[in-house]
Amino acid sequence: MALAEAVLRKVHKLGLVPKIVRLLPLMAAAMVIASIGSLMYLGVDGQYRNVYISENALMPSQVMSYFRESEWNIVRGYREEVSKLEDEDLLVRCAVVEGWFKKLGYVTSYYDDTLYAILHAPRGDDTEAMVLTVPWTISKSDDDEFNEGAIAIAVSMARYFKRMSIWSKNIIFTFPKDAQALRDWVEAYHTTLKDTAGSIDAAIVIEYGKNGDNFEYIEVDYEGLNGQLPNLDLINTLTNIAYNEGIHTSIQGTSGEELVKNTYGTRIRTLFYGLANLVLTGLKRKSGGCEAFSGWQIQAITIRAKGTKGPADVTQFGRLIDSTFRSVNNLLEKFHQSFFFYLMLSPKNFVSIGTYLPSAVLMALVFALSSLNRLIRDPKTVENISNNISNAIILYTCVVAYSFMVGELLPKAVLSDLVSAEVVPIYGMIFFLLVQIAMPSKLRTFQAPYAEFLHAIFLFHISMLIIALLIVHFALALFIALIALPLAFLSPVADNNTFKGYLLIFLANPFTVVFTIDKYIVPDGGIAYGLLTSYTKLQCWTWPLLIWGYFPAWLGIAFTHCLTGTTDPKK
Amino acid sequence: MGTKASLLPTVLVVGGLIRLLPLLFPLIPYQLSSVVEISTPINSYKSLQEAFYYLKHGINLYDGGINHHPPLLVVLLSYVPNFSIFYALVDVYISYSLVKLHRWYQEHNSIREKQQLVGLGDNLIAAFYLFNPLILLTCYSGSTLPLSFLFIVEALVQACIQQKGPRAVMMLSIAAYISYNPAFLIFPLLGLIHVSARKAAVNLKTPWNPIQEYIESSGIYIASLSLLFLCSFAVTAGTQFVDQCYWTVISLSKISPNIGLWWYLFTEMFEFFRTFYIGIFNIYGFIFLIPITWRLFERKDPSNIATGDSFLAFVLCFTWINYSKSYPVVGDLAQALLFLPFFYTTSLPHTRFVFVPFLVFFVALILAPIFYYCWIVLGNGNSNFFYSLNLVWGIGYALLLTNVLWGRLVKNYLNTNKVTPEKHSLIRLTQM
Repeated sequence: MALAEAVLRKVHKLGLVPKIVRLLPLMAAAMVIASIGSLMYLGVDGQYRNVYISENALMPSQVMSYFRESEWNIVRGYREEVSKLEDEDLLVRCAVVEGWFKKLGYVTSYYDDTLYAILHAPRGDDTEAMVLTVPWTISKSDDDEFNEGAIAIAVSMARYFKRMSIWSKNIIFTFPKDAQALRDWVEAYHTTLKDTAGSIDAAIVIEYGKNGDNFEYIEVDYEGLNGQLPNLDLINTLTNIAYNEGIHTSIQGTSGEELVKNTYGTRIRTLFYGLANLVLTGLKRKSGGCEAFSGWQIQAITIRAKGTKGPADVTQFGRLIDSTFRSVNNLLEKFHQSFFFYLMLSPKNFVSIGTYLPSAVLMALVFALSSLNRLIRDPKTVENISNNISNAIILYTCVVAYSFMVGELLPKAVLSDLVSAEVVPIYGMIFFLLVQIAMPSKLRTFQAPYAEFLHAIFLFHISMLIIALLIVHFALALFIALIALPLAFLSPVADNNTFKGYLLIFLANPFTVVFTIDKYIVPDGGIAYGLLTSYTKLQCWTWPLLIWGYFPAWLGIAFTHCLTGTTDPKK
Repeated sequence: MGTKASLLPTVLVVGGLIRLLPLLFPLIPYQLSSVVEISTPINSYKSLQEAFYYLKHGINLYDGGINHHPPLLVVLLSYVPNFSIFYALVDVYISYSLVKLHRWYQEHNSIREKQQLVGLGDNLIAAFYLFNPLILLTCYSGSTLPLSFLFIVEALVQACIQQKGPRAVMMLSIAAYISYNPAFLIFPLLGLIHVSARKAAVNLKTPWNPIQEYIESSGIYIASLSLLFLCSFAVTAGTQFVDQCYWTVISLSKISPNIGLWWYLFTEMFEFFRTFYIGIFNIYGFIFLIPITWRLFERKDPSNIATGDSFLAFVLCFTWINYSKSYPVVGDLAQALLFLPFFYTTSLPHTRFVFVPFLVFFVALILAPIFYYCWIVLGNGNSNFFYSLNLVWGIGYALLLTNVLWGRLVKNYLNTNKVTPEKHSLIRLTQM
């Protein structure tokens, strides 16, 4: 305490407090730079770590997989039969595959038109399961490529698994027609389905299109909904097995020469693509499929075979699955606790939460400091709080209520085809801009202290929103911080009715951001539609967080801005 | 002042009406009583309903170990036709009592400070209670927490306003009977009774013996507690209720996550350490109460200088108990914070950074449900996440207690050294 006392006395003596107050905007700006700088710095040697297997029981690549050349002809035979199904109706396809599974001795069932088959483990107590999901089409192709190879591999694996006595966890095969069907199946599995096989520990979605007998490398998707990630051990296990098979692993769409490169540039690229994908998971029209398992304590990844010429052959793809399942099968407990929060820099490098969290904390501080700055910049603001507070509470409640209404109604309108999702952001952009500009000067009655106080409240709101999301959805917290940044540097008095003021507010408008992403950053990704419907369809929280969390703050600041008096009210 | 006073009935009526929300949505109490921050197994609505069922079907109230409500409370509450209306009335009564207490406090201190102190408006004091979101949630959850608070507030009213010591200790004994932890508030309450009895004796110019006052009050306290226990024994024909209602709280035998400091430590503790730490934690619950009461006691000063503040002592003790109890909920914090506006004229102007604990509480309140969700539902967090916020919560309490106490000590210093208000800002006290 004596030290704190000495410091306080010194601070008081030097008159630091007023100096710091004057420097608040500068400090906020410095923190923005520090935040982005600290993210960029993560790619520098020494900041990131090499991946390792945290759970010793997994023991990846420690067993010999027997899914080898002997299975070649079986895979090819099934592939020949599967290729005949391409033009058939979904139910016909399912019936054929179901026939194969029944012949192999599997229990088969349907949920809607999703076929699934269960292998009850010979050595297990029937309480845990692993899932192998094979969608009928490939997600990341333009023309809905038939997932021919993966289905053939899956059936061959089913035949192979059945002959082994080592399984202590049940194995479930599912054949959904798309990501939505898979999501529905997962939910039904945990709520209504009769034929189940215990709690699911891990799930692998496989995609192997018409690549033929050979492929070049594998691509792994791992982002879940609402910022969730699968346990890093699962990804590590797969990467490790692939490495021992001599197959390159690609994450975040790295391809070609980049696969073997590990430079600052590739690491930062992977990092930012990873963050962007985490924000957009559940919103994109074409998704990896693994996010369907989010929210049920299931570790899920998608493995996709890329290229047709490469060194690897089709049975190696089977071995990847086999070995990964063998590893997960070893688990006696849950996956290790510390491996859920990470950012990947390459398949072999990651940063843990303690290292990357500060950048978002700094962003939250930017808004907290800006809020403080608005509050104490002019002594009149604090003096008038007791007069203004009840009005401020009413305004705040109205803004939040309005946002809730918008957040409820817009998805309903889109889902019932009243409006097209692409139009909504354009409408939102223009409507609010027009309302602001057209606000009659008679209504511009807010005094400067009141406007400053309101700004402080709404900036504090954003700061708290970022803090709330910090751990649970880091990428979205950072994203909201970035789109809200213009508001932190907006002054209700100095920028009132200026081009700069309108521009800053326009830039921070969530609808502007959605429009930009939908039209320019991820063109034809169906982002606007995904955003508006994903809460209803997939329980993805991005829309509620944006419209119930961030939108009220934006709306509040935008309206405070256009309602603040430009002229002296006494005249 | 005139217009503000007339707002009070509106505040009371609106505050009462919004408490009737569960009439429209009857599932609210059941949902809220499963939220760990709002309700605990000890005071939850669900277990009360279970107890009613046992009572109706003639089953022993404490069979199955679900019910932790004392028997007389269960019997009396079983006559309540509608809990929403009942709790609304309880809350409105509490808020009105708080308004009266606030008026008394300002008047009492105006006399001591020899200047007219103007506190906050009645409507604000009532609104702080009735529109406090944490109090509202507690009310909606149907937990029995407001009932024991009702009797604590009533004890204060009897001790301060009515100046009836015996009635005050009786009220406190009922509060203690309902939820155990307030039992230790007897120390600061005796301090308050001492002050008001002295005042009464001075006014009436009658002789008065403080020792006798203490013995009488403690005797009545113990007697009324014993009577309640005897009645409970007679009603249930057994002593099982002692084990279920009080020993569970003392020994934390029903471990479940809450916002307190206890549960996490005792979850993984070896059995042979348990007894020792149970003892330590329980002693912590009351050991600071006597020093706080003693330090802030309103001594009879020959030169008639106002030092100490027995009411503040009571509030600080109450805050400490709410912080250190084994099954705390957010309602406990809200109840302690309610009294802060009282000190707007005395202690609060001299605190240094009283908004910091509020920020701390705010952040903890936002993150606690999220971290709990990460731990229980998503499985990507663990109990450490949630407990870290309980620690943050504790920091908030510590900052709050030290701040308010500091404010009062500064006030004492200024009073004893007769510092004029103009010179207040020139003096920078850093330690006492």
